[in-house]
Amino acid sequence: MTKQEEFLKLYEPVHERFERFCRARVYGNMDFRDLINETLLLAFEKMDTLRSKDAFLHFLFGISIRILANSNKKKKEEAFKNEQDFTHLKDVGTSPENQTDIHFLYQALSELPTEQAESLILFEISGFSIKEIADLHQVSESAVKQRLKRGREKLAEILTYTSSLKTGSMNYE
Amino acid sequence: MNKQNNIDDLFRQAREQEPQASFNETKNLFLKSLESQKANLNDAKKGKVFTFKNSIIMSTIIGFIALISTLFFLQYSTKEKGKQKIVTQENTKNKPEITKVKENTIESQFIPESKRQKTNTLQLSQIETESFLNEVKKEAGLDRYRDQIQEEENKIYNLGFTSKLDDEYIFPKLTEEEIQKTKKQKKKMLKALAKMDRDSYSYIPSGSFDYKGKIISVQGFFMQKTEVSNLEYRTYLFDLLINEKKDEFLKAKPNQQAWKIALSDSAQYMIDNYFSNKIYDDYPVNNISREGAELYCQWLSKELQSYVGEKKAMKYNDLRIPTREEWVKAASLEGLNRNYAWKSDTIFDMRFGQFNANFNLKNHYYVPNKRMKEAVEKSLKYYTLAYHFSNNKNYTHMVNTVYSLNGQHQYGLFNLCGNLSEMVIDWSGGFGNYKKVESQTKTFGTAGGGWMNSAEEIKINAPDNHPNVIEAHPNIGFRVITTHSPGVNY
Repeated sequence: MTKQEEFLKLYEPVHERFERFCRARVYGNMDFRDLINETLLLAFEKMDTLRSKDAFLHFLFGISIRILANSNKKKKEEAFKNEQDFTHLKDVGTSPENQTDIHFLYQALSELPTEQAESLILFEISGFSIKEIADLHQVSESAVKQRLKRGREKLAEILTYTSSLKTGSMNYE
Repeated sequence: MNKQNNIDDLFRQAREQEPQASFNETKNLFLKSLESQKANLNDAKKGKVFTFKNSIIMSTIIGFIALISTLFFLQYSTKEKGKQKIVTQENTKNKPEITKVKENTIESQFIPESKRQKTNTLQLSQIETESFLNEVKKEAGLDRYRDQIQEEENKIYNLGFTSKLDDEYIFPKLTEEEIQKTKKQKKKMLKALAKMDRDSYSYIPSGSFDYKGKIISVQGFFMQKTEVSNLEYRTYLFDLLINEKKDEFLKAKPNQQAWKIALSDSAQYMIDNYFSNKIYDDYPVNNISREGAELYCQWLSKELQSYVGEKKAMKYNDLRIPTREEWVKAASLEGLNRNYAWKSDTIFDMRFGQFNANFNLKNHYYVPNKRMKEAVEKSLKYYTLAYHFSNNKNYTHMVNTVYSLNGQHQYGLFNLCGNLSEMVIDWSGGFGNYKKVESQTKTFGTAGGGWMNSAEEIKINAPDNHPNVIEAHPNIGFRVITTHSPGVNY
C-alpha cells in the first residue's frame, strides 16, 4: 500500500466528523473545503510523526486548529454601524430567506470568541470529550468547561436576537 | 431552560446533518493538490537544468532559425501571391456569414498581414522548408540541440492547444488513458443531463414578468447551474478528435492568444495552462468563439439523443445558449427588480466581510474605509486564481463557488453575475421567444459581466459589456439551457 492510500484509509472513517467541524468552524469566513484540503496536505506531510493510528483523529484536528490559530482566519468583523461609511452598498437588512436553523447556529457560533466557538464545536458537534479538548487546546479541563458554559450562554443571547429578526418582531431597517 | 433545549436541538441537527463535501470529493481535491505540488517541485528542479549558458544557446538557435525562415519566405512569396488571391477568393465565396466575420477579425487581431499570406506559401512548400531548415541546422552544428528544443516545445504544446511558430496546427494525440477518461467524463455529463440532475441543472419555471417596461412570458427551462467548465469543453473537443472531426475541432477550439487582450505581456502562464492544466478543470471555459459555443450545444444535444435512445429522445429538447430574457428571468429571481442575482442584492456581504461575486475589485471598486479594504484584500487572497498561483491577479474563479450564504442564488445557480460574462441571444423586438419570428433579427450579446468588469458592470440590467462580440474573449463564457419537455420528471 502506498503512503497516499494508507493515509486516505486512515482518513475515510473520520471524514464526516472532520468535515462537520471544518464547516462549522470557518462558516462565513472561508470555504471549509480549503481548510480540509490544507489540513490533509499538512497531515500527509507529517504522517511519519503520527504515534499510532488510533491517534489519527486527534492528530488531524490538532493540525487544523493550529492552522487556524496561526493564520488568524477567525472572523472578527462587526456589523457596519453607519451606512454613510460606504457609498456603493445598500443594506437591505432583511433576514435571508430559506436559511435553515443550522445556518443561524453556525452564524451565531462565528460571532463567539474563537476559543468558546471551537470548544463548543468540538464538544457538541464533533463529539470530543472535555479531556480531549483540553489536550487539543493545551489548557486545563476547567478552562474548557468555562468556555463551554460561557459559550452556550452567549449563544442563547445571540440566537434569541436572531430569531426575533426572523419573525420580524424587530424593525431591522 | 427552554433556550438551552433549543440550543441542544440545534446541535443535534448539526451533528446529524449530511456532509456537504463527500469523502470522494475531498480525496480528489487532495490528490490533485498533491500532484500540483509535485509538479511545482519538478518545475523548480527543471529550472536548474536551464542554466544561463543553455538559455543563451537556445536564444541564439531560435533567433537564427527565425532569420533563415524569414529570408526563405520572402524569396518564395512573390511567386505564390498570384495563386493565393484566387484560392482566397474562392474559399470565402460560399462560407456562412458568421464564419467569415470570425476569420477576418481573428486574423486581423492575431496574425500580422505579412504572415497571413505566407501561411499559404508554407503549406504549399512545407516539405521543402523543413528539409532546408534541417540542412541549415546541420551546417551550423545546431542539430545536436534538436532534442532539447523539441522537449521544450512539447512541454508547452502538451495538449496541442497552441500553434507552433510556423502557424501549422498540430492536433493533440490522445493517449489510451485520455481516451478512456474522456469517454467516462462524457458519460457522466450525459447521465446528469438525461435526468436533469439537481446538482447540475436548475429548473426555472415558466411565467411572466416585467422586463424593461414590457410584460414578457418565458417558457420554463432547465439551466445549467454553473458556467461550462474547462473540463466539460475539453471533453467535447477530445470527443471530436476521437471521432476524427478535425474541421469542427479547429472551429471550436479556444484561442488562448486572446488572453493577451486582458493580460498583454503577462498572459503566457494563462495561455499555457488555463485550458490544458487539470487544476483548472472546474474553472469556466473562456476564449471560445460564439460558433464554438453553439457547436458545443449541438454536440451535447446530439450525444444526449444517442445516449437516451430513439424512443426517449423525443422528450428532450436541444440544448442552447439562453435568450437574454431567459437569462434575466433566472438571474432576477423571476423578474424581480434586482441589481444582482442573489437575495441580499448587495455586492458586499457585511456580516461576513466578503464580496458576493468575482469581479474587478482593483480598478473599479471604491474602498471607503479600512475595514472594507481588509475585506478586499482578504477576498483577493481567497477568492481569486491567486489561490493557485502566486502572482495575486484577479481572474476567473471556480464555477461552483459560493461566496457567502447571501451570494447563493435561489435556484442554486452560481456566478450569474461576475466570473465570466455569459453569452446570450438578443432578438430585436422579441421577448422571450427563441424561434425566429418574422421581422425579428438575431444578434449576439452577453450578460452578467465577468472578472474584468466593475461592480456596476456586473449588474443584471447593466449594459452589455461585449455587444455583438462573437470572437474569443477572456471575459466571455457561457452556460447551456434547454426548455422544459413534458415527460421529464424533475
